[in-house]
Amino acid sequence: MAARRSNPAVESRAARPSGRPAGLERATFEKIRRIQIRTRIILESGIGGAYHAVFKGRGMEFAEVREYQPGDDARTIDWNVTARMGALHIKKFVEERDLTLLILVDVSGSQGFGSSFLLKRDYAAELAAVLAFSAVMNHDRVGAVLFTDRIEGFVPPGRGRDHALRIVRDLLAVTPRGRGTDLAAAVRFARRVMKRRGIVAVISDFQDQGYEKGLGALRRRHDVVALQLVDPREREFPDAGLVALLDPETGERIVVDSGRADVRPLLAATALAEARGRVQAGARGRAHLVHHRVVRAPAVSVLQGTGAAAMKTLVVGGALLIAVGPQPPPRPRRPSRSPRPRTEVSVGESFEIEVRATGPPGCVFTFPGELSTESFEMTPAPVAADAKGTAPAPPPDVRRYRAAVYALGESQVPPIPVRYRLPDGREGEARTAAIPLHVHSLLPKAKDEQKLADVRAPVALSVGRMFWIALAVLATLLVALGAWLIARRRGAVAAPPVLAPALTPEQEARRALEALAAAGRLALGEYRAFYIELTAIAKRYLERRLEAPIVEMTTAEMLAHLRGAPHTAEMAPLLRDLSGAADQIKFARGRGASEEAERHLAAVQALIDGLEARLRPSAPASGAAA
Amino acid sequence: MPEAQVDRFLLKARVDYPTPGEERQIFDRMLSGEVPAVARVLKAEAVHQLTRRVREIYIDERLRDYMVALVTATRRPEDIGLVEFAPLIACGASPRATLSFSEASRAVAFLRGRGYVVPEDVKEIAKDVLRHRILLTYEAEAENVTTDMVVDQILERVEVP
Repeated sequence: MAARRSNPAVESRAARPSGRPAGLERATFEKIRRIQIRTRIILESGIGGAYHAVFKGRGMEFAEVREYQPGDDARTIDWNVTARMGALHIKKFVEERDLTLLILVDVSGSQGFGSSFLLKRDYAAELAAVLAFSAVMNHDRVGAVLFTDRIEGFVPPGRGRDHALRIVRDLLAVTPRGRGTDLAAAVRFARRVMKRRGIVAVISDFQDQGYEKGLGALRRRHDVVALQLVDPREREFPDAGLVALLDPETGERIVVDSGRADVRPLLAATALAEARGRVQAGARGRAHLVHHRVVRAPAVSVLQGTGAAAMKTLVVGGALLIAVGPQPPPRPRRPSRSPRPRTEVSVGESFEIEVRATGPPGCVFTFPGELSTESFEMTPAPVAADAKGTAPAPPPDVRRYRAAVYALGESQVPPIPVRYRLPDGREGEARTAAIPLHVHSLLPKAKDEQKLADVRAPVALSVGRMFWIALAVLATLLVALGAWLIARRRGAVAAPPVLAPALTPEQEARRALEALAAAGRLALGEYRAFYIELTAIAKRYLERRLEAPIVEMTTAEMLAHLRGAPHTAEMAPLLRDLSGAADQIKFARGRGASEEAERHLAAVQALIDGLEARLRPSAPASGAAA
Repeated sequence: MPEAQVDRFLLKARVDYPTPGEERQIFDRMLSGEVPAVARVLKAEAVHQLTRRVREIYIDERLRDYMVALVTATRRPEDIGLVEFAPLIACGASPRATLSFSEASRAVAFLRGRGYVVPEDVKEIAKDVLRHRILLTYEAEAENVTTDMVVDQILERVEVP
């Protein structure tokens, strides 16, 4: 309980705005904090047992047998060895303190699906958080790889709560650049970064192909846990009338009449079933495959709060009354003061259910966490947080749930069981009455009313003729606009010569050479300055004229480049002599000679003359443009 | 080894696989069974003397600026227009890199039989001097960027004196 008492401190540290990295939205940060708190609760309340099972076999790796020394724990004495050797020996085990957990999380487009309240991606984040925090609580190292069809992010394994928080933060804040899924690449990456034996958890929907071998290879070295996220609606498609489906990874769209019984089985992701088979094959039975139905896990309720504002809410009041009397089995009754239930909902629409339990004073109620039947799903509604972000404790006798129905026609909110304990210690269960619902499709069901009777499915959404006509018109317009712009530009060039004349490389170099000759450095004996300037002029000229990074080249590189390029092969000898002398003077405190320097100046001029003569006839346009 | 210790190494040379021709030579040498004769080529005294000669090799001021510019570019790549490298480099090269440059470039010049350092010497040794001193971020690791690639880019961007 001590840990729980320290919770507020932890929360405030995590939520401190100054500790928030730039660019991370407040909502994201809220999510992180909530996930953390929720995860702690899961771990502390023991539901995390399933996750802990992953961290098995610690500290049992045999290290050595050595002679007993005073101070060794007597329990470590190996009596067999002792008997053989005639002296006390102990057996030592290495405690694998450096157990590393690497979580591969799929953040691809298909993970953005979720039929009820939670996207698969959010669920993946939560699952990863549970694993990360559970590793951290074990003092293990945890890292994460976020992937789509490329590696989106990598958090190297590390220890500590802050590190786990960073993983969760990265997971929630990631904006994937890729949309597809390349599990094989992610697995390859994991093999590269996981140098020591450890555990690799793969959280994905496994909507990919060709990763089996990689997963198998990964398993040779590491303990691999494959966690497949499956939304119930991916397995079984509800009758929801006419539906437009979008493949988030390829952007392909199809329109489907889900009202037809012969179509629905096609939609139930057959690929998914195949994928499941492959995981098992690839891991050859050694990798655990854990299915997680998105709406079943206890952690689900954490994330619902986000985006709730957009959800249409419809309150269906359900209430039960527990009577205490001589007859222990209480009869549920619906009090008249409950709001009149609205029984019209559409398929998949979210509505709220309020369950209010009344009983004698001191009666304690236990509400169900969640409830689902074939066509009905219900999870606890998120508790609205106040400004400070702290959730008020719900009243003990009222629970709100968020629910949705996935079947057309007459349906019902099934009876909701509520356990109670009376002050005298008697226990029992009461149920609300079923609430009848009429579930209608978003489209009129009658075919003539639909006016779309001919839709057969799956049908690829085709592009109409009007589209092509519009495209052609647009293209013509663009061509016309381009032609007009070019014409205008030509006219502008033809009119006044040039306003600010940019010097051509040739002009610039010639001017610089004149200035250099006029400066009279040679007369003053300033050979070093002369050569620095002379080589700079030559290199700058060549850089601009040849459009190659000559200035960043050394003498040898430059000569090699000139020899290799067209037009300049014959120029190289002109420069070789000059560069050799220049290097001597520039870097070796060499002395120059007046007539030699004059000759080098002339050589640069000859270089410009030669190159211009060569380049001009072959590329007059570039000369004019410059 | 921690970075601070790695930093103390003068050079990190990459030794790749031998070429097929070299591989063949190794093979032949093994087959022939001849043990190469060991002969003394230098006395310790001579080595000390040569070391002293290396220290006398001249490095021009503008070359010193060039080496400092290379090292600084590993710390602030955005200053030479390599903005995309800024998030890839966690730590640039330390001042030890500059000192190593001075030693190593003179050694190269010496081996070439020159009494002074030229830019070629610096460029030739730059990767060996810098590759173990630049610390890349995990983003770089994810994008398969190596320190050699970083140094190559820097060499292409910094003006040679």
